[in-house]
Amino acid sequence: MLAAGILVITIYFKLDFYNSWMDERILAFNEEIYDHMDRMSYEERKKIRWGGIYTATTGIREHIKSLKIKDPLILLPPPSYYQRFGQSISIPEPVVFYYYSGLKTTTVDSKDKYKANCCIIFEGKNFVFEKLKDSADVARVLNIYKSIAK
Amino acid sequence: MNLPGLLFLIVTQFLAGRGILAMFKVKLRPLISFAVSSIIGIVVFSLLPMLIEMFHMPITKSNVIIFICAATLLLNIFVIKRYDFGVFKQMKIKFPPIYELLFIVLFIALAVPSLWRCYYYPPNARDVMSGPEALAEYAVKEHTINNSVWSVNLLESTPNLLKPPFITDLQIIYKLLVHPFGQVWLSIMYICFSVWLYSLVREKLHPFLTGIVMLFFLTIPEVYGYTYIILWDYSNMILFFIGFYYIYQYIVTKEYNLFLFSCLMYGLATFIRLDTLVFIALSAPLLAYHMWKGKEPFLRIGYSVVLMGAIPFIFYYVWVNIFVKNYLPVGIDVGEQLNPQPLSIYFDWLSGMNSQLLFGGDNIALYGYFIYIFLLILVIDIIFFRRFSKEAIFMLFGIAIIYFGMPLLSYLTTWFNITTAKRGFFKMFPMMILYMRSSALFTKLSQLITTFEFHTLQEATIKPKPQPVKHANTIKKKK
Repeated sequence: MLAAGILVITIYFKLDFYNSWMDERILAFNEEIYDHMDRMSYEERKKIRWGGIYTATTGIREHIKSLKIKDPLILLPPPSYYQRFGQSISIPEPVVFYYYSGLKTTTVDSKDKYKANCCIIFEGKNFVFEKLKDSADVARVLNIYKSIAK
Repeated sequence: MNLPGLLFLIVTQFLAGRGILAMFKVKLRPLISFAVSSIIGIVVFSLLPMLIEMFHMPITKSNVIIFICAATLLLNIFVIKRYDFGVFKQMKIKFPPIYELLFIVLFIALAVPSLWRCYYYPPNARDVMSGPEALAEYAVKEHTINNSVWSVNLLESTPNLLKPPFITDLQIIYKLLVHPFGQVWLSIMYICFSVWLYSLVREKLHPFLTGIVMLFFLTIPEVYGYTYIILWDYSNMILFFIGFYYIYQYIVTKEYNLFLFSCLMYGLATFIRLDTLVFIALSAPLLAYHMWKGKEPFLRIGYSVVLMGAIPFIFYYVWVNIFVKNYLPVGIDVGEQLNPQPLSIYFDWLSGMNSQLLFGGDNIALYGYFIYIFLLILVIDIIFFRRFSKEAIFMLFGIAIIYFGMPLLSYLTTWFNITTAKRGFFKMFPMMILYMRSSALFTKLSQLITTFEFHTLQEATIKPKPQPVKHANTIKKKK
C-alpha cells in the first residue's frame, strides 16, 4: 500500500498542471523561507508584500512632514495626468493610502476636493508637492490637470 | 508574535466552541471536537468587538480579553455538567498505518508554506485592504470601529467597509493579542477544517482513498491560495458546509438539536457573508422535502423552514439594521443593491460562469482538475453502478444549489460578478468531497482494498511462510 501511495502521489504531481503548481506554490517555499528569515522586521515584510506603492506612500508621508502642513489633504491628479508625462503610477484608493501612510487624499471627482491643502503637480522634470492656499488655488490646479490630462 | 496571547485564544476559542457543541448535544471524538470547536469559537469571537462597540465601550486589549473570558464562561456555565471527561480516559492513540502517514506527511508539507505566508505577510487582498483591514488597524489605534477611516474619501471603498465585521473584528482581536498583522486565525481555521474534513472522509473510506480524496481538495489552487490570504470566502465555505452537513445529520438521525445547531452555523455563515441567506433560502425546499418524506407533521416542517431562515436573518438584521444604522457614519441601502433584471440575464450569467470559471477560461488555473475529477467519479457512478446513497444524493443537491444559486446572486444584485463568483464556488467543493466519500465507486474501491488487506493479513497469520528451522542436532551433524 505504501508503494501504491507513493506511485499515486508521484503520478499526480507529474501531471503538468500540478507539477508547476507544486513548484510555484510549495517547493518555491524552500527558497522563500531563507529570504524571509533575513528580512523579519515588520516594515520589511510590508515592503515585500506591498511593493513600490507602499514605499512611495511612506516616502510622501515623510515629505509632507517636512513641509509642515497641518491636517494635510492631498489632491491627486487623474491617472491620465501621470501618463501624459510618461509615468504609469498607480496611486492606491484613498482608504488604502490612509492605511499605508496615515495621509488623507482626494481626487478630482470627489466632493471634498476644494478642501485640499496640497497637491501633486509636474514641474521641471519631476512630480512635486505644492501647497494650496484656498479653493481658488485648488480650482487653478484642477484646470491644469484638466488641460494636460485631455 | 505574542505566543501567550495565541495560546489564550486557542484555548478560549476551543472552550467557547465546545460550549456550543455541548449546548446542542453534538458529540464528536476528542480531536475532531477540538477542530470543530475551534472553528466555531473563532467565528463566535468575531462578534465580540462589535458587541463591545454596542455597549459603548472602547475597544482595548483589556476589554477584548474581558469579553472573550465572559463569552467563554457564558457558553460553558450551563452545559459543563454535560461534559463527558471520560472520553479522555478511553482515548486510545492509534498509530496510523505507514501509507496513511505518507499522505499525512504530504498534507503537513502542503500546509507549512501556507502557515508561514499567513504569519509572515501582511494582508494584501484589495477588498480587505480598503475595508476591514484599514478599519481594524485604526480601531486598534483609536479604540473604536467608528474611527477616522470613515473620514477619508471613501469613493468605491464603501461596500467593503460595510461588509459584516467578521474580518475586521478578528483582525482587531489578533492584532491586539497575537501579531500586528493579525491573520493567524485563518491558519487555525485551515488546519481545523482540514482535520475535520479528513476525519469525515476517513469515517467511510479506506485511509488510502481518504488520502487521495483529500489530496484532490487540498491542492485546489484557488482554495489553497485563500488559506493564507484573508478574505470572507474560505471561512464562509467552512461555516456553510458545517450547516449543510448537520442538516443532513438531522435528516438521518431525526435529532432536532442537530437541526438547530445547523441553523446557528448558517447564522454564523451569514455573519461572514450576507449573501449566504440566498443559499439558505435555496436549501429550504430540500429540508422540507426530506421532512415531508420522513412523515414529519406539516406544522413542524413549516416552523423548521421558518427557523432555518430566521436564525441567519437575525445575524443579518443585527449588522445591517442595528449596527450599521446606529453605530456607523455611513448607511447601507440594501434595496439599492438589488438589481433584478430580465430572466435571460440569469442564463447569461450561468453560461458566463460555465465558460469562464468552471469549464473554460481560467478554470484549470483556479480549480485544477478537481471539478473534472468529481464529474468523472459521478459519470462512473451513473454508468457502472447506477446507485446513489442518501448522502450522495443530498450532497448532489447541495452542489446544485451553489451551482444554480451563484448566477442568481449575480442576477439579483449589483455587487456580484465573475470575480466574486470564482470564490463563491468554494462552497461546492467540500460537498463534492462528501459526495466522493459516499460515491458507489469509492465505496467499492474501499471495500476491495480492505478485503485485499484483510486477505493479505489472514494469509500472513494463517499460512506463515515456512522458515528454515535450525535444530541443534542438525547443526551439530553439519559440523
